[in-house]
Amino acid sequence: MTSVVASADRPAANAVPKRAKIAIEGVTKEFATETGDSFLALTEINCAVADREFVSLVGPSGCGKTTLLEIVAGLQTPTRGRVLMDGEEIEGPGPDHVVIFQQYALFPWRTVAANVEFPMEIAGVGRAERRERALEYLKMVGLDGFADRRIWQLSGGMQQRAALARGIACQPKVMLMDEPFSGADAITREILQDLLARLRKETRQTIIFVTHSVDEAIRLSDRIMVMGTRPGRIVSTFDVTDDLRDHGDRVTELREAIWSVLRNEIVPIADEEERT
Amino acid sequence: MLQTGGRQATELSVGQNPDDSRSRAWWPPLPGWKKPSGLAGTVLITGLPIFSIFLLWEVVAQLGWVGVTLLAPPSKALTVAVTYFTSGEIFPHLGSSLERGGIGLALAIAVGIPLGLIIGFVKSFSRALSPVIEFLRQLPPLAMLPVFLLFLGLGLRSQVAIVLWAALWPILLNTISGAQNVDVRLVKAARTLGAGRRHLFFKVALPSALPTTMTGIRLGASYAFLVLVAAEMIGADSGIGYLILNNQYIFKIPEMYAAILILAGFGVLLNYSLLWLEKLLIPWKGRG
Repeated sequence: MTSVVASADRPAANAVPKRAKIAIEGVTKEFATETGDSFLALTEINCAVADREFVSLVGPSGCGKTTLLEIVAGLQTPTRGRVLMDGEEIEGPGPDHVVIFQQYALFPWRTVAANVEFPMEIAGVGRAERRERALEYLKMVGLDGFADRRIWQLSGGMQQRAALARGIACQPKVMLMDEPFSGADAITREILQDLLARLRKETRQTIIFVTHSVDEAIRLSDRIMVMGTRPGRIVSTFDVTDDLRDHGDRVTELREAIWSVLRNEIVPIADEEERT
Repeated sequence: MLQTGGRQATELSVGQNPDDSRSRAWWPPLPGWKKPSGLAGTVLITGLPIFSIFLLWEVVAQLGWVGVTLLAPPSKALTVAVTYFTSGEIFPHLGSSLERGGIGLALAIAVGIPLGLIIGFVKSFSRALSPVIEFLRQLPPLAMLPVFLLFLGLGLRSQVAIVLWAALWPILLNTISGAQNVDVRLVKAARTLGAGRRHLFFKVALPSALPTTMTGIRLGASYAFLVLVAAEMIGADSGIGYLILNNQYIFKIPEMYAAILILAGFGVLLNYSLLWLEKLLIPWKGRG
């Protein structure tokens, strides 16, 4: 990677703090299109996520937030720039920066517990310990008693709980969540958000959370990064505290502030689409 | 890319798709039709058409519309079939057919699954071997029988070879297709959970391919069954296929029909045991 060049170019204002859990440095992603042109999906992303921080990436569809998350996950490589975890460059996917997907991605040939055991199996954890820990993680997500069920016997919400337990089983340094609750209905979504908030309080897990729901981001995050489109970039950052969440008027204010940023990003595209 | 026929291939069992009942449940009931319930209902619904066919056959044969020498009534054929079992006369034939079919199918599975997984999983293998497979699978198994007879002689070895040839292609092609169509989301997930190439192969690609592989095995078994009977008529001195043709040669017509009925029953049994095996081994099929 051309990391040296990227860091030399980086403006001082965007400098990444030394103690960052995750440092995204000058990440740019270009895709080749069918017509032979290149499409700039992400440009010069610089940001850091502190240890134990919960950061949400919010943005309209097509802003590259999933691409950015997959680059952090090591599932895609940036065209320029690099991602560091604890100061070391991420070169591929791995359990210490595990991803929770929107589509759960559970293995249908395994039982619920065997799914949770999967990363431990890969890591070489012994059978008995694996099982014991899997049951413990399933209890954490409220799935005790469902260990030996088949995946298709679970509802969508329960499947996402199982996927969450499997992510916890990786004991990751950072958990990457790609719109994990978008597939759930409104009620299930609330319940899953509560679950995640509680788990996060208990474990102090570092989390990067991609969502297109502003309310979800406000409810869960320490910090919200709002992304813009064409090319994808971080437009604004907002801090959220529990104190703020306790005051409805301040939540409304924050929501309005985020929306005013988003509106600027969405409106020009809507105009463009009308023209074409 | 190989043109794999597994997904589109005609399933040789009617109404065995586990989703059938679910999708049909949405159709409105016929007016005035009350679905017979319970065991008696099931027997009535499934048994009536078969019974009607036998009845028609019996009537046609008994009334002598067709020469009695050509068409034995089913009552006679069934009696002979029972005698075949009670006298034990059928068992050597059944045994040699089973032996040939069993060994041939087992070899086809043993070769087809590992080879299919590797071809499906490793792109360069797929590119290199696709033309060869495309060519070879076009050869009808019976066209290969003279070659097998030439090299392996009459008897078990050439019969096994032709069963292997017939069963191998559907198993191989379906396994390739299964390994190539592994859900990308599952591969992504497995990689983020720490799986390397070896784990992806054994813990993701292999179980992903199993449902299509099993379809291939069922197709392969049906092909093997068809081909074996024909091959036994041409180049064997035992087996159910041989028995059918030989009975016709020596003009034991009821015996010929009896052997055909036994063959049909055997085919039904084979298909149902494979379906049962599939449910047992791959309970997640169609639910991914």
